[in-house]
Amino acid sequence: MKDEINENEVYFLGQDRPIPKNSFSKWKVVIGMIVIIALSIAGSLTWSFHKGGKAVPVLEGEILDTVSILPQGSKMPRFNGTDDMSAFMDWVCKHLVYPKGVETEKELVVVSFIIRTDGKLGGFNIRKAPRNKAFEEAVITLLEQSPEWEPAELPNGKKVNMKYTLPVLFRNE
Amino acid sequence: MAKYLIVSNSYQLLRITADRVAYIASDGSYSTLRLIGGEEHIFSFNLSVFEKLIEQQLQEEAGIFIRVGRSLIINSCYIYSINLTKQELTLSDLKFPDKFVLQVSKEALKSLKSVIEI
Repeated sequence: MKDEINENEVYFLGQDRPIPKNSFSKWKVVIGMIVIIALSIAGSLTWSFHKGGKAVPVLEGEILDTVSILPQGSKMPRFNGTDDMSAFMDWVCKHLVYPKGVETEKELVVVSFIIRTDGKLGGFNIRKAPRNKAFEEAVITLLEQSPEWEPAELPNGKKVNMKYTLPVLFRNE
Repeated sequence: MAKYLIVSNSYQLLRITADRVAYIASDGSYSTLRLIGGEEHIFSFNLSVFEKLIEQQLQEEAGIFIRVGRSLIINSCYIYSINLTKQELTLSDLKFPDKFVLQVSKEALKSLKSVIEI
């Protein structure tokens, strides 16, 4: 689900959201227009139409984030051929090995990776990790041994890469 | 009787009253729920999902929570201080063993200040 909140928007939950004041400054509009023009000139933008006849932009060769809005009829990646993301979480929990010598430490590692069109994981990128490199190495080592995935698919059957962000909390209980 | 907030994923379920939640912070596609005792729980969904969850489950009680920009939901009962110069929001209460100091943008803090000053 994509978060569409303005960065400086503030409101009480459960009530109507107030109309943000000055939500579009002159400079944001100018910058937005420059980005749109640059994307149009850069090329590699193809258009496809889904059943409703509504135009949907699809970027060829682009890596999609899991918070991207996929066109209707797309398929999310599936872990181990038949299972979904919750099975992947179970697999991580079962196979993650605490680095030796630091079993009492509580640490958080956040890693992003790409679920590739060939069903393998790659493009590992540590976004957050403690100073002790053993924790991130334990996570990467595990992910490199992941069973194969069914990659994400667009409605036309085209397989696409998808980026996923995984937080791993080492907590000895 | 106080309503409970139930947050769950495939491997854990958390059942807590609203007054135990200090804040929920998000960094992209996952969120960290911080309780007043200091406990942290991580869930791999974003703040909009949390927002809907809170509104659906807590109903009128949801109003104690404030969404602050894209990456934060706070329990307004625990707002202790807002420092625009340092861009800091401090959450604190007698129940807390320690206060939480959060870095928030100046514009969001200004908006928050005006919302709670009403």
